[in-house]
Amino acid sequence: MSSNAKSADPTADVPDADLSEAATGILEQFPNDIDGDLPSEEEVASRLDHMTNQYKVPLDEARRAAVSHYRDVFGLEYDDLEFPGQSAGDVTLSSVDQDEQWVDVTVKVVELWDPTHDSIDQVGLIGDESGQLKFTKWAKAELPALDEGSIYELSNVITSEYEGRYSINLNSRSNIEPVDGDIDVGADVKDVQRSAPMVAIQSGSGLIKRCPDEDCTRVLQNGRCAEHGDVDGEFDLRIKAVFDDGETVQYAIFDREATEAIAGITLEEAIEQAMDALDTSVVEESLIDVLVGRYYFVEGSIVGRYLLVNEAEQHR
Amino acid sequence: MSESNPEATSNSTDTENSNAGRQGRQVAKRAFAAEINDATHVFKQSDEERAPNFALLPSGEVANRYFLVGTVTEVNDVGNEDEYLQARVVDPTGTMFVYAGQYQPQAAAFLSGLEPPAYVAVTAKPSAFESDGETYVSLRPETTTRVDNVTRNQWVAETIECTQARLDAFPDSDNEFVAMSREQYGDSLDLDIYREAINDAREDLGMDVVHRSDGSDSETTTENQNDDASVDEDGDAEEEAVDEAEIAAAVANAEFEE
Repeated sequence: MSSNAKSADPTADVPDADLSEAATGILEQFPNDIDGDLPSEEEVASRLDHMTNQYKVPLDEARRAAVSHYRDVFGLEYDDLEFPGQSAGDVTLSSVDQDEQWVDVTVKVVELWDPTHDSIDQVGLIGDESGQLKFTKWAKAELPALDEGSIYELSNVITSEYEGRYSINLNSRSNIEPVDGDIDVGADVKDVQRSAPMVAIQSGSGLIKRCPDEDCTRVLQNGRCAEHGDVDGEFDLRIKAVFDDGETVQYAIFDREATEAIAGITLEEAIEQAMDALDTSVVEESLIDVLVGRYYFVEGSIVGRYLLVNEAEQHR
Repeated sequence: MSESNPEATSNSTDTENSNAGRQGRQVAKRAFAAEINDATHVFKQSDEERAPNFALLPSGEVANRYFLVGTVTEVNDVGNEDEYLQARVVDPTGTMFVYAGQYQPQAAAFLSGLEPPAYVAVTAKPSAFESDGETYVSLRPETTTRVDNVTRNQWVAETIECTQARLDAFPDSDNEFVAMSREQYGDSLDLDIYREAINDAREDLGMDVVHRSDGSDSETTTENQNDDASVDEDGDAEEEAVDEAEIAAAVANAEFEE
């Protein structure tokens, strides 16, 4: 099955040229002013070779693991890494559809909210002609303050995704430039209402655990975070539902608040249920019993293929 | 159209996994028992191994999945060794047969604990099996839940609308499934059966019954209908007197053509 013409070694799936290119790419992500010496390109390439050609790990995964390893070695945060050539450049807010993508945006600060955590300097809503997104400016980034109603060019900001909803993060690599003029901020036109029965609740619903890292919040799989490894997860409630009116399928996500409202169960009660049964899946099962098969009015915003539920009530 | 197809792997019926979701999920069609039981032509739209099955509804629509709400009147274990539950699900137009075994754990647990009669919402996949030259439709549930009469009536009203829309569009349609229905069901195709079914459903909800001026009466039968099917004076189709024991035995032993 091997069709690897570039490789001299018939047992090697990933040729040396690819490995050294990947190694160079990894080294470029590390800033020059770190404590300690960066590994040589050969050293990184040999690490990749070990994982790909000996342990049969795909190159992308090997690259990710290597970055993670060197990040630990040098005590760097993910935000400290550089991603040359990966920036998507100038984008409009409505076109943001990838997690962890570096972009430049020109926006108006629509609203500033009260930060909920000391690590957050400013949080709120930014908008351009295409739409609006939440933004978070981290305290450790030590960036100048944004004023409500003012226009800024935000460069080297990174997108993040949470339950299908995108936001913009400003960190120490980001730049803020005030800009003259005004922007006619587009309304969040993706708000929709649907009337349909819920025909399924998908696995991964009910009582879940998220990574406690405030930047992360990934859902844990068997107690592991894809980014941070074994962590003590924090309980959360959600429903991944399927609504189907006989014509189209609409996937929907209920966050904790929406789940509590529609199912009449609190997070604490869900945790208790799971404790009693020694099994978190009882929460998902009871949500299926209580919710699936009924007709609903659902209102929320469409992001990607999901409807993020703001309000839902059984249609009677 | 490349949904992960649980039928292809007998030990996985979890269509609700994220994989199936990512690739696009088949819509759940609405149809009454009268039509679902006549949708005996089951086919694949592609040669791919995991291509989904579709049942051809006589009104010119295809269904890989149904959403239905009806009254469970009886649950019987028709399995030989392992438990295999047959539930009779009744709507205003007839009786559907839902079968749940070890590969439908949610539905099997639900049905075995259910005390009929009860209103039940079912999402299910259709399949067809043959017994003594007759083709029967059976439904394999994905999710089953207990609902109230309000939800049940909402489904009946919705299914009246969906069925009516298909019947209205049928005569002038150039839809490929309308053509396929004419071809597959040919002489036995009699859409008046489903107009009658709509009337039965409207009557059930206390709505006015639509009288067709040219209405052929409901004694019209088709080759797909059992000869014993009869109609009482109110126009209510009585339950088809199919040989249940025979169906149960056939289903329990059947290797579904999936």
